[in-house]
Amino acid sequence: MKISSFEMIALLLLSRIFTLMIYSPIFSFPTSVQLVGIALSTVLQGALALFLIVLMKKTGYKSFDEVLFGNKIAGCIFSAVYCLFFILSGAAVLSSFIAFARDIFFPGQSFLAFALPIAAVCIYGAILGIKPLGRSAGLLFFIFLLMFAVTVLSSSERLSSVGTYGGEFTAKGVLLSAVYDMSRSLEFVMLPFIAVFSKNIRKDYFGFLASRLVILETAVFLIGSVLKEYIDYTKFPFFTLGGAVGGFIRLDALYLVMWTFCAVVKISLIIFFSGYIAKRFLPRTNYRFIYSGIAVMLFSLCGVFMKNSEISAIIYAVLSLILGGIVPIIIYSREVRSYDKKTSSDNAGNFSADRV
Amino acid sequence: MNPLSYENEKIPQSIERFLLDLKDILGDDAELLVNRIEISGIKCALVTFEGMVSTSIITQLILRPIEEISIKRATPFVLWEHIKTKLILSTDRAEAFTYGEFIRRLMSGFAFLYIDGIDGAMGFGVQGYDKRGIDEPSGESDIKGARDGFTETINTNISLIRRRVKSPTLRIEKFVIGTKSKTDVAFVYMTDKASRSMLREIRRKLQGIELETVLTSGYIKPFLEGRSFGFFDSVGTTERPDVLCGKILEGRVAMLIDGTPFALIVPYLFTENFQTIDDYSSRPFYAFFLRIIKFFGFIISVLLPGVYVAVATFHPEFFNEKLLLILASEEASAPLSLGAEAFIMLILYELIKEAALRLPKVIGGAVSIVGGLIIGDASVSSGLVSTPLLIAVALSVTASFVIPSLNESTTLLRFLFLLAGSFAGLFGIALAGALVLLNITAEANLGVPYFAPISPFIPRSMGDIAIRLPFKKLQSRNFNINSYKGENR
Repeated sequence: MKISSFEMIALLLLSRIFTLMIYSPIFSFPTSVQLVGIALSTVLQGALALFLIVLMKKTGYKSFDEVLFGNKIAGCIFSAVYCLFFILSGAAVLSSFIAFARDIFFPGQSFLAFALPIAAVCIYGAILGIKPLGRSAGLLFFIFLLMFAVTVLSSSERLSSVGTYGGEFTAKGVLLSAVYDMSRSLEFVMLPFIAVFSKNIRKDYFGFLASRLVILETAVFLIGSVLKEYIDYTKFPFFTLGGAVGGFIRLDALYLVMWTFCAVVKISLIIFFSGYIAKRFLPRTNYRFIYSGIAVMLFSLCGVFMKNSEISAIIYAVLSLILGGIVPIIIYSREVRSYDKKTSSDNAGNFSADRV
Repeated sequence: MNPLSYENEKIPQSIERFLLDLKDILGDDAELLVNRIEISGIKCALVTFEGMVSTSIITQLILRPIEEISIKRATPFVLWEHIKTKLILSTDRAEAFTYGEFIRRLMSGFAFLYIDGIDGAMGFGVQGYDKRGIDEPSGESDIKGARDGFTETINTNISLIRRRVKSPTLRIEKFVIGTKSKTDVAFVYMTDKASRSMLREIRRKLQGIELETVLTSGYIKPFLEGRSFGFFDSVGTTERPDVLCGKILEGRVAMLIDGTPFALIVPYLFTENFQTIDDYSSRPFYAFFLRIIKFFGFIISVLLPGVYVAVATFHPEFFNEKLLLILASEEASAPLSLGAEAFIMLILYELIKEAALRLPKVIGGAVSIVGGLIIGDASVSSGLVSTPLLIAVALSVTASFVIPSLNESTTLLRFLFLLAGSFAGLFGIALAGALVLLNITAEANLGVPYFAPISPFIPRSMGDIAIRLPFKKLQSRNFNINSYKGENR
């Protein structure tokens, strides 16, 4: 089952936009540093993705799980690691979502009041599969673009004043900004798995990277130039930006709605991919049961792991690089080598047969 | 003869045996008329059902010509061949060699001539039962469209379609569904428009029906739907022949069911609920305006009570100061929570609607007055319900009348969003919205995504969705629903 390029790009973008909405600066770098950091992270992801896609092509776009399970023991170990990583990421996403909602809109509400309804909707989304998720994402992306356009247009007045959120431009800052962006790029780890659902993975992934770069750079620039020093006093700058620039409509209300949609899409996607991997271990188990089990794990772990701190960001970024880039590249390289060996031995056999 | 398993039993050659079998199958049915006659010295029987055939037609077209038959050295076979080849008697003729076929046609208003010595009977369509005349469709009124609507008689409905589409590619296939009712179902499509795989799939679905009876189109609908748990109907319904013709010309397949004026259409899209035949009679800009009103009406009808309760209860800061003061003063005297008030009002509305629908029309009007005016006015003046909430509920209900085909869905979704908004504010509304969005985008019938061309987004088809392009442009599009099938792969 494959989805169109637009749907795939929209799905990945919405997943990334979710983290943009809870964008919470932990390193306090100047806007210019963050802009360069995001660009650096995008270039790094692009380079690794290109290398990986070339390898994938050489194997005839064999699915990653199929390649992993070429060696059953290694396949089981790596799949378990990926599955766990996705579940932990989902738990982190959910915990930040609930923290935001409780912080801004529903102070004092219990955790379960949020977790249970969102769990039900996300399990439903994961069970329906990637096609409805992609189609919903396509439609929601239009709404996001509209909202984003209103934000940009409404900000134009405030942009006339000189300067952005300031500070010293340092190489360390750029590197840490890149690390921070990398730590929020779950879509990069999804890359080897989404290939099987994509009609043209190169077009889809690079389309996503390019759009992501434009949206993130614009958002960070707007936040820096509109909020300036006020960033230090705000917990969720993108949300505050919506409240600050919303002239004719209350953008913060729209943000809450849009953000919930994004959370549903992202968590459903995470449950879907975790379930997709888990199905390899449990081929005879009903997929609804698998998705529900994963959702229960995800919601139980919510808030336990991946707190929003510098250390967790660095760990997360390193894990993303390893699981999204290094591991798939090594595994696909082995696959390509064995494929080449097999082909050359076949050719040699044919050659000797011809001679005889 | 076992009256429960006569279906495939062959008709015997002996008239005495044949009449005994009929008695076994139909018992002492007072409506069964058996006229024993002798034609050219051969014993025959004319079998009909009283009330199903026209006495004058049967006398003029069948009895008189048959009486005049005079064949020298007649044998049963010669008489059979003579009637078959030299007399027309009726244009609608059929031969039955099994009791199943014989009984089904007999009960559809055929008169059967049985000739002693022949293992079959010859049927003549002389239906003369009372039927409702062609009338204006009650549920799909329009201003500039045709005034004729489908009736309960399948043959009349087929003629209404044939009068509009005089193409040789128009095909009508008839099926019989219902092990007891033997209801005629006609399958209408254009051979040059409908896809073969789609037709195959529909035939397969229809063959899976094992119902005893089919009394309304709702009996067949679930068998044609894509998924069981959709919030919306992926099978369309119409009582307008012009609408049906428009649909089959776009590659869809329609289903006419004897006994109901509602035809079914598959596949059906969400956006079709917002299209009416009047859109194509009006000027494009006005049609565009109407479409926008309908989309807006749908959103209001589903969301307004829920969003109002959500914002007023959880996010009052979103209202401006004046509005907030009005709401606060109104709500101060109301004894119930806003969510409970809205819920009770909507339930009350549904009760009044059901009462007005089921009661005789004269009393139904009175119920509307009592329910709408007296209860509504009394509940506001007594302070049980606040006026702004009543306005929100009334607006929502009125807006749902703009798209009557979505009535079932909007009613249920209104409650869903109200519950979500009452318990979790805009967060709940967004969650419910995500649920509905996932549900609607997952829906596909016969390979055609239900939410197309919005999602999957198909730009080339947008000319007849929110806007309605002029016919000069629409005519060149040559739209076919099967072009959406590729989008679902």
